[in-house]
Order: sequence, then C-alpha cells, then structure tokens
Amino acid sequence: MSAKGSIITEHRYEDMDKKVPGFGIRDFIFLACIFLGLLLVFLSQRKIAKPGKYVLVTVSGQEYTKVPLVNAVSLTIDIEKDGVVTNILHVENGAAFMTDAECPDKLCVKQGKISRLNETIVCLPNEVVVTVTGEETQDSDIDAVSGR
Amino acid sequence: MSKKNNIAAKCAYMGLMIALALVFGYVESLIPINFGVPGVKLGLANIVTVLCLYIWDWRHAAFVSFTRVILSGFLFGNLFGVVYGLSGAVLSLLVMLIFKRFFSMVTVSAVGGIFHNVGQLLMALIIISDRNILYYLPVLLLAGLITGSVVGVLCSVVYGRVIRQINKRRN
Repeated sequence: MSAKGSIITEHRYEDMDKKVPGFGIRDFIFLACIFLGLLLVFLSQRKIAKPGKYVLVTVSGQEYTKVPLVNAVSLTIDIEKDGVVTNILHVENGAAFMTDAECPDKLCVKQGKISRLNETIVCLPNEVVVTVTGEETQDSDIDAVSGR
Repeated sequence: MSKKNNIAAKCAYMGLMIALALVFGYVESLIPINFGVPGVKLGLANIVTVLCLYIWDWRHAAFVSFTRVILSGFLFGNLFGVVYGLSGAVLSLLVMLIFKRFFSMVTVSAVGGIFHNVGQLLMALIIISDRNILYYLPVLLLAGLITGSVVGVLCSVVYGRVIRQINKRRN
C-alpha cells in the first residue's frame, strides 16, 4: 500500500526493504567521466613536468630560504611554535626530501623526494611547504625575501 | 508504542555506529599503504557515514560523522587533524546529500570520498596559504574517487543485508 513513487526521490522507511537505487547507467557514465578526466589530468601533469632549479622553503606562507637543487646540503628549518620545532630537509642529487620532523604525523618525511617543477613536500602541523621552483623569485606572493 | 521514537534504541544505534567508525579508522591506519600526500586515507570509516545516511537521515549521519572525527582526534592522539577531518566531513556530507537524490549509493559514496579530500585540502590551503599545495588536487580527487567507489560497493552490500533487520525493529 506504499505509493509507487520513484525510489530515487521517495525514500520512506517502509519502502526501504527494497534495494536502494541500483547502479544504473547514469552512475556509470558519471563515474567514468570523472575517472577518465582525472586520469588525463594526472598523467599529463607528470609528463609535462620539467626539472626545477631551486627548492623554496616557506614557513606559514613566508619564504624561509631558497636553495639551488644542484647543491648538496642538509637544511635545518626551525619553526617557532610552543618553543622551537625542527624539520630537516636534505638536498642532494638534484632532489629534496624531508629526513626528520618534530610533528605529530611525520607525513612530510614519508612524502619522498621532489625534483620536478612545482612538486611539493608539506608539513601541515608545522606549516612548512617545500616547493621546487625554476624562477628567480616566486610570483607576487612574497613581499620580502628573507636572507638565509 | 512506536519503537521508532525510542531514545534508548537511538542511543544504542548511534553509539554502535560511532564505535564502528572509530574502529574502521584505527584499522585503516594499520594498513601500510601510504599515498605520500597529507590527508589521503582509505576512508573506510565513510562506510559508516554512508550507511547512516541511507538507513536513517542526514542528521544521524552528521552526528555520527562529526562525533567520530572529534573522538578519533582524542583517541589516536592527533588533535591537530580534527580540524581537517571536520572540514572534510562537512563538505563531504553536504555533497552526498545533494547527490543522494539523483545517484546510486556507489556514486554518492565516491563523491563523498572526493569531497572529503577536497575539504581537507581547502582547510590546509586556508591554514597554510601556500597555493602550491593545490597541485595535490588531481591526486586527491583520483584517490577519493577510487576509495569512495570501493566504500560505496561495500556499503551497498552491507545495506541490503542489514536494512531488513533494522526495519523490523523500527515500527
């Protein structure tokens, strides 16, 4: 005696013994489109990625330092946050990676190496962002360049 | 007497769902798959959110979802992540609500997974103000889509088997 409305729009508890709207053609098209679109974007991003020149480190959006990728350094980044917490960045063989960090999740350390343009390593808790750039200075986001 | 309005029953169900979601979150943290991008998770706990959305309504789903995020912050020692988790959960639920009307469970869940990641990335953007992290977006979207779809398939299987029992006790 429940009204025979479309299951998709009418969802009363008594009707719910029937299965929920199944996986129809509409869903398939929708998901396929998104999937292919994203795949395309993702692959093209990797293909047209060019090698970068510098590694730019920003803390809380402010530029902290900029290191040429050709160098081989071990950079200690000190952040003021309830005392001083440290992230350690290694730059060698044209790539940069985080080797240690005083933060709750240490995801930055697991993020691996970056070497191509615009690749990043992010330490969210300490608000540290390491980017690979190629130009002399960032866009207009940086108001001042802090010396090292 | 309509059991539908039984507060004790609601308490029990919601408690069960929240506990389930917490355990899902813990289990998925044990799986050593690492996407290397902050905030990308398997999203197994969304199984519970989506199920609540379909078994009850968005209010129940929201309650379970938000409580779970907050509690897991306390439980697993990552209070910092609660902010990101909440923003992801809010956006995800909003979008799922809209999609629920037109699409099936799998799509709703996939979209929910996508926007959960999007919400987290947006919050990270607000906090860090470094536009470069937006380059993570394609990876996040893809991961969200795949994990969300898997979650959706699991949900649809569970839903079919569980809803009859719940409805029996509803009225």
